[in-house]
Amino acid sequence: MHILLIEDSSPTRDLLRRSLQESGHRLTTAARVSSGRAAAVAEQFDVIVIDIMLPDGSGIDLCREIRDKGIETPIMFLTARGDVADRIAGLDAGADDYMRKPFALAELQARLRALARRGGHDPPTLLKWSDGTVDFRARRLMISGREIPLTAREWKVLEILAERAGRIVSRDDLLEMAWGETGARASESLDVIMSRLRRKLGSRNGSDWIRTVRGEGYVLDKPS
Amino acid sequence: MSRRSIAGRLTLLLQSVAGAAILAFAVASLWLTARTLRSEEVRLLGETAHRVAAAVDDELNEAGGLEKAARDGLAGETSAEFRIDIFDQSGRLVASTRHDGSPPLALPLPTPGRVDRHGGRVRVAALTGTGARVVASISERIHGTTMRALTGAIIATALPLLVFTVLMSRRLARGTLQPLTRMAQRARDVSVESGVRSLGEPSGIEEVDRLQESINRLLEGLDDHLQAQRRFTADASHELLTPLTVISGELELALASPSLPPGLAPGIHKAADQVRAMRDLVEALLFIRRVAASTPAKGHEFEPVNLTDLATRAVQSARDERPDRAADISVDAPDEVMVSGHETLLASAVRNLVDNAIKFTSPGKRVGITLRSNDGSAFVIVDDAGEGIAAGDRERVFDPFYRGGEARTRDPGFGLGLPIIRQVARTHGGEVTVADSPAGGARFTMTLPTWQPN
Repeated sequence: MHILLIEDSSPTRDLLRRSLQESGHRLTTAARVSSGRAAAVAEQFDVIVIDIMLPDGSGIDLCREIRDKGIETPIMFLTARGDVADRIAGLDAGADDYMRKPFALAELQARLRALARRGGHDPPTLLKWSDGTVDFRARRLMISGREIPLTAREWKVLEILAERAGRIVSRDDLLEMAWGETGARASESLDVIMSRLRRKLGSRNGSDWIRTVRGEGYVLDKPS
Repeated sequence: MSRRSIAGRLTLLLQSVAGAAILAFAVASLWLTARTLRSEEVRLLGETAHRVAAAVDDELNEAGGLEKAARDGLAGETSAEFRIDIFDQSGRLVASTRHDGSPPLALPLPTPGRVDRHGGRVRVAALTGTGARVVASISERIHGTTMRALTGAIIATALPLLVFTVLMSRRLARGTLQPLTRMAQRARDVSVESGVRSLGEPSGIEEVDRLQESINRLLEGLDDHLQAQRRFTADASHELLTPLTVISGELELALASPSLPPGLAPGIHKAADQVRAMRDLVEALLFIRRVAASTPAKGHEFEPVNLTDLATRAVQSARDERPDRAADISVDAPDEVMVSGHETLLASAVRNLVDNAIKFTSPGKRVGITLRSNDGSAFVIVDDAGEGIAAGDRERVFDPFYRGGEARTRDPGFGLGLPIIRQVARTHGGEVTVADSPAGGARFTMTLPTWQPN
């Protein structure tokens, strides 16, 4: 996997270089908006990682510029401020994912893999069925006209499943992408979140939206 | 001091001025009318008396006898209002028009050339050549009736006018002050975060615009300050959290390295935990600084957070760290207690309340975490079996500068400490308090508003 990293902190670049190269990825780095823009245009990457705060400009503006040039490569933001407003600003600029600093390397790697696999496809923005709407951008789940709250982790799991609606997602993939680890504790937590998600999403014709495929993983049925 | 409204005072002022003007107009016109009426009466009475006196003189020249002359002299006088009486030199009535049928005028007779009032009449007398007296008089009642009619007319005009003025002056006062009211409305709608630097277009009223200008300057100053604050927070987040990313990443790489000497792993794990604790603290401080301008913080900073997850995680971590105490710690929570908040911050607050309770409870005694929610409030109740906190110190333990004997507020690690925990709760529109626990020690209760749909 060929990754472009635009990050001004050299220890962070160094850390990610070693971590990603160890996992067999190729890394190109840039420390500024200007050099990052040049690199993004010059070469084809599998994923672009951009730090939001760069010395000569904002990573969000850079992301928008890259998208304006018609480059559809998946983009992930790194941000020190990870509140909802920043997340929406990033996604509006055309980013596909974001990670708050400090992050676990394992989680970053899992998410990068997920992004690369997805290619340039749009992340899900809206799911709709007879009595429910899931708005991923505003993070709002409406069931029968009532808003149902989902925690950040619950959204993450639902997003991962929705991105692959109709396809089976293995338990380990889900754990890696949403927790960054596959330990017993995360696994326990996944069970709890699955049961809550099922309860909150409700059912269709008596069966859950999220089905368990024994021995394989989970699948979110496409609303038809 | 009671509140007085400018509009009210302006209304009152306008009403008083208008009322006084109407009153002055009424009084002046009544007075002038009365005066004019009276002088005209007197002039007519005088003229009439002299005319009749002259006529009587003429008659006397033609035929003898005052009485006949007097009667003839009166023959042409048919005025409805005036009454004319003629008296001889001895004061005996010799002729009268008696138009109103009233009894003869009582004595004394008026002095010729002077106006007098007597018996409800205004009288003017004139002397004939023979010394007989012609008295022309008019009832004062007629004058009164006219004046009453006029007064009535004035009141009938002035009263509606007054009512109209009262209403108009209220409208006028409100209208004049409307730009002020509008400005107050806009100022109320301005939130500090919105970055509004002006209250809108000038109204064209000098005083209001001066006030608005001052407020605009104040808003600009506030906004500049706030933006500087935001820049600082963003910079500080970046500067502090970027190195932490590197530290935690390097530790993670080291732990994953096959060449790591086995004895180093526990130490590196501990370091990694401390980095996480430090990240929580940095996030807490920066977050609190960011939202200090608005308490409780604006919703866009928040997302749904399940307190049950936080409590479960806090207890798991505590049990991991102190396996010897694992059995002492119990949780009683429903599956979901949803609040709206900053997950990292709330997690740190809950974690630190739990750690605090463990620290002040001796091994073997129980520490209980209870979650409840009702009526829009969520409660995180942490009971310990420690020494408890004296009633007098229960507020002071949340004071950043309080140095208690047990130093409950200070944490040897990078814990948040009670003042910051309280700040976190308040930032979320909640509170932290301490009381006696049924378990024997202290009971810390964090109250937070539950999640509500937008």
